[in-house]
Amino acid sequence: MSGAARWRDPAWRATALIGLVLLTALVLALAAEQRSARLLAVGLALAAVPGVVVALVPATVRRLRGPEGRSLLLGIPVALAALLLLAVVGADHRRLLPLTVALLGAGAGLVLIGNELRQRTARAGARAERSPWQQMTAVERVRSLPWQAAVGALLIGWSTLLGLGAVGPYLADTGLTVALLVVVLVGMGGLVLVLVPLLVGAAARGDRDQLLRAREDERLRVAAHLHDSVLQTLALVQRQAGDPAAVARLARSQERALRAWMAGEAELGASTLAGALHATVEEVEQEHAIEVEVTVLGDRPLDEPGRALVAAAREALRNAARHARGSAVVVFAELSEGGAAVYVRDEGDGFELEAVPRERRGVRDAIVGRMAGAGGTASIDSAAGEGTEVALRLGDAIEGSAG
Amino acid sequence: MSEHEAARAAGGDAAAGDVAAGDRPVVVIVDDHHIFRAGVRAELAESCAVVGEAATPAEAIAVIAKSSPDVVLLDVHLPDGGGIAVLEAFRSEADAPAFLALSVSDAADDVVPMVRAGARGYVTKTIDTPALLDAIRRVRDGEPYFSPRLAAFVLQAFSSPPQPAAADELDQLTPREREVLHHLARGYAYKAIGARLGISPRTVESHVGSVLRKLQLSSRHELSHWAATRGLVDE
Repeated sequence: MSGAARWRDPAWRATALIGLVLLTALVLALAAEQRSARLLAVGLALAAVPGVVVALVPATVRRLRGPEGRSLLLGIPVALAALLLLAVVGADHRRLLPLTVALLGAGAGLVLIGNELRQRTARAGARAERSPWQQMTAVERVRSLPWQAAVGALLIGWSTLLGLGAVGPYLADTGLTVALLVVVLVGMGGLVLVLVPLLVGAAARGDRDQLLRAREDERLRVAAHLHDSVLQTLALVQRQAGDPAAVARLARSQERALRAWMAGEAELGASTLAGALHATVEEVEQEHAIEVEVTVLGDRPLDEPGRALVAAAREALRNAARHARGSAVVVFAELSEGGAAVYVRDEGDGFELEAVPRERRGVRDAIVGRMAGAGGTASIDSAAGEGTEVALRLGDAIEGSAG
Repeated sequence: MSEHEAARAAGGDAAAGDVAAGDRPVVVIVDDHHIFRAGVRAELAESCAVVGEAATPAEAIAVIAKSSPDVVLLDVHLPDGGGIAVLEAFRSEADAPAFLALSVSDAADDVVPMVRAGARGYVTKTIDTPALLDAIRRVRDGEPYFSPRLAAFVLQAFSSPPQPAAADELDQLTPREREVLHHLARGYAYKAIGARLGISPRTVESHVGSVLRKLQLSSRHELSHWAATRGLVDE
């Protein structure tokens, strides 16, 4: 977030203003000689307290609702106990007021530090969750300084000074100063001991929640996919139970789709050449009620030549379906970034190229012409009684055309 | 699927082989699904002698030792170690039967480790009966049975250049072997491959046999990787 964007954020503006007021109060309290100036400092600090509350209330409510709420709720009895302790130690009103202010200030400082910690963990989590693509393209923010934590630390320091200043003179000769210092130090140590594990635990819980959310998302995704695919197919199978051929075809195509999905191919869908080839094979299988065995090695993005290749493969498949006479059709594809080779073979009757009637040549031209238009090649290998193989090649597969 | 085509293409060869061999292959079926075993037994009843069934590797080892079959139909996914465990038990035996791996899966990390552990062929459970019979006869006669898909996987495994440190002869295919495998992947039968490459079907077969040997002995990273994945799944 740039400075300008920050300034537009009202919560940030409020926080900055409160911070400035508190800082002024601190400077005044430290530097002022007269009693009136000190009172002004206390007044300023007091005036800032509602601001602190207002600025932090939304965050506080959110935290109280969230898992971190527990740590905050734990803080309340601690603060109450501390107040009680103060009330017992010095039943003097003149001391109680600054001490309360000091406690509130220290509490606000703790909240600020905790807030900063929480935001930083969340941001780190979000960064880790980004996909490689997002990491590459996202404009990385300028690393922000820990302002909130710094203000929190200042507040705590100021509160400690204020507390000691208010209590110290009264206890100077009673020897209680040391005792009080020990109490304060032990109290703060205890607070640190309680709060640090709580904060760390909250961060860990945040991570775990994120993981659970991710798992739930994954489950929903799987459920949605199964609903759209397997359940639909099962419904179709029930409706067509009287037609064994249709049932077998449905089962086969569903089986293939499920396998591809499990192998992560369907995720890419038709945005890759392998995905588009699988889809095309399935389409022709449905259309002609034939069996096609497909093996695709490698993959590449689906570009314009790739689309032409898929269209040519569809023609070749339809052709094979007409000639296969019930036997299987085999599709073998080798894809890489540099090129693609797709073989469509049937065990049908085959034909002599020269003897092909004119209208069939149209089909052949559709295959050969398409591939030529895309900068590739197509060769048709057929002989009477030997079946037919159409080989489609793009890129560096053209030179490496063995057999 | 694949086997359908291969069986049709090899139909002539298989029939001739059957006449020459004269007898019915002796078969043991190892699968943890009772219904599947019963189904296969019924399908094979006409042309094979099914002498035993087993549901676990331990049972399988006992049944095979007792009935000494020609061919064992071996499921990949079995409790207590999978089909691999059975293959390991017979790996060093001189008169071990021929193993034909059978699975619903045709993923590379199921197929390749089985073949590496000693299976002579691999078919998926969707295979039709004539193709299965053809495969059984082939492996009984000592031939490897490569479905187009298995051929494609092997081609892929051997396609990357070998590590220079271990540039063993076993780590790469000869151009001829590659060519033969490529044709197998495209669905050609041995006879048609021989005709296209101008060699005899026997020579084609010996090329496939040497590919099988390399597949089992090579230390190529791709192959070991698949085996390692399989091992993790099983244990």
